[in-house]
Amino acid sequence: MNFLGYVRPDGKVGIRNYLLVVSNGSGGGALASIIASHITGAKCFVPPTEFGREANDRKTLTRTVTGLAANPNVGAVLVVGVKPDSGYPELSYQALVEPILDQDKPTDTVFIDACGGFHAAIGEGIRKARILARKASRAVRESVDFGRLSVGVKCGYSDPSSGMAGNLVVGDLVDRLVDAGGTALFSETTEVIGAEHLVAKRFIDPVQRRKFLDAVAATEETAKSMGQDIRSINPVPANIEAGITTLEEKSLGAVSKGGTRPIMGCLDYAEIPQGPGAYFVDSWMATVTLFLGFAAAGTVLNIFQVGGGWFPPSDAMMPGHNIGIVAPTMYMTGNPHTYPKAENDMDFDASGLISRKESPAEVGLELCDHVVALASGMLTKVETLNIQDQLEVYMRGPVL
Amino acid sequence: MERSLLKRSKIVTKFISSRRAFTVARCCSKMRTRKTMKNLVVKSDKDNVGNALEDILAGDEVQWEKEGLKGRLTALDNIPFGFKVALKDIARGMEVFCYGEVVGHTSQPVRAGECVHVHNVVGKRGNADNAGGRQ
Repeated sequence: MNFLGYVRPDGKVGIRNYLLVVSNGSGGGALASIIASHITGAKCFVPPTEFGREANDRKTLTRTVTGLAANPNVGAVLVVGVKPDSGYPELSYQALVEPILDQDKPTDTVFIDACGGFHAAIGEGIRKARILARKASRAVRESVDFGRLSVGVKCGYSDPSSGMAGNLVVGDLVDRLVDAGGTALFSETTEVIGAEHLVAKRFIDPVQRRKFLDAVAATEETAKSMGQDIRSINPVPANIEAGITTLEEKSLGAVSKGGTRPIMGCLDYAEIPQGPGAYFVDSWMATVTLFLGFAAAGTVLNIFQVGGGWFPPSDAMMPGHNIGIVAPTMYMTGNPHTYPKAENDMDFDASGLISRKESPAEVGLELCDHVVALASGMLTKVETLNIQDQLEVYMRGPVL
Repeated sequence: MERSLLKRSKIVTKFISSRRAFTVARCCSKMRTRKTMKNLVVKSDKDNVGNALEDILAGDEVQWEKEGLKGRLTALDNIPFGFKVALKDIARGMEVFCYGEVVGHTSQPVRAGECVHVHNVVGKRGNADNAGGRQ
C-alpha cells in the first residue's frame, strides 16, 4: 500500500508542506503571528511563556518548538524573536535556534534587536518568509510505502462504543502501521489507570516498562494527594452521561487504541522517538495539548476517535480543528448514532462493528485506505477550516 | 373488562360496532406491551455485565452470546444504547467485571436486568479512600 508523500533529506516523509514561523520565546509572539498571517501556506507556533517556569518545563517548551520545526510536514522554518538568546539557558540560541538551523531544510531567522526594531523586523520577516515559502514549494510528492508514516492516536468524548468498536479499529490500524515499519504514538496516562497491566506487558525494555508503570502510579498518587476523589475528575461528565461508569472501565476501553504490538518506549511529552514502532507517551489527555505534543514528536497525522454519545443531536462541532498545527487531525467514531450527527467535521465511520457485525480487521483496512488518501493530500474535514485553536503545552511544574 | 380497554372501545364505538371496537382496542393494547427481543454485547465470559447494542425498555427481553455462551433475561430498567445491564444478581460490595477485568464494585445490591451505572457502582482506582492497584 503506497501514498504520495514529501520525502525529506533526513528520510522522514511528510504529508503536508508548510512554512513554519516559530518564536524562540513568548516575547517574539506578535512578530511571529504578523509575519505568518501574510504568507501563503504558513503555520505559526508561539510557545506559552517561559517566565517563572521551572527548568523541566522550560525544556519541554524548547522540545515542542524544535520538534515542530523538525516535523516532516514542515518544508521550511523561520525562527523569530526579540534577541537570538531569549534569556533562560534552555531557550538559548544553542539550545533552541541552532538545532532548527542545523536541519537539512530551508531555514532563516529574524530578531528585532538586529533589525533595529519591531516594525523593521516585520518587513524583514515577511521578506525572508516569502523566500522560504517559495523554497519549500519546490518539494514534490513521490510514491512511498504506507509504513513511512508516523501517526498519533487519541480517544475522546468516550462512550461504551469507544471500547466496543472505535478504539478496536484504531488499534487495528496501529498494528498494520507498525507491522509495515511505521510509528504510532498513543497516550493519556490517567486513562490507563485500571488497565495498565495490559499495556505494561507489551513493553520489550524493562527500564521503559518501569518508567511507564511509575508514570501511571505517579498520576494516581497525584489524584490522591490532592485529596480530591478522581471520580469527580475522570471519567468526565460526557463519559458518564453516555454510559461509562468508572475510570477502570474507561481505561480498558481506551487502551485497545494502542494496538497489540510490542511497545518500544515510554516517551515524555514532545520527545521524538529514536526508531519506528509503537510508543506510549506519558501525557495529560486534553485535546488542546496532546496532538501538539504528538506533532512535536514527529507525527504527520493525528487520529481522534470519539464516542460522541454526549454530542448534540445534529451538526456536532468537534473539539479541535487544527490542534496539531503542522499535523492535520482526522476524526472518526464507532458509534452508529454519532457519524450522522457530526458529518460536517467527521471523516470516518467505524460503526459497522456494531451495526453490521463487521470485524475490526475489515473496518481497519477501510481506515487504512482513508489514511492513505489523507496522506496523499486529501484534506481532513476539520482541516478545511482556517482557524488556529488556542493550544497548551503540557507542563507539570509550578509557576513562580 | 380492563378500564382502559373499555374506555378505548367506547371511543371507537362511535365509528364501528361495540364488539368490533373492543377487539381492535384489545389488539392495540397487546401490541404495545408485546415483549421485544433486544441485543447485548458481552465482551468476556468473565463479565457480569453486558452493553446494550440498542435502546432497551424495561420489560424487553434481552439476549447475548459470547463464544458459545448464550443468555437471556428481562430488563428491569430502561437501558440506553451503550449502557450496562447486570447479567446476574450481584450482591453489594462485589466486583463488577467488564472486558474480563474488574471495573469497580457495587455500592448496593444489583439484580439481573437492572441498569449498572454510577448509582450502584463505584470505581476502586485513584480514590482517596482506597489502596492503589499498582502492579
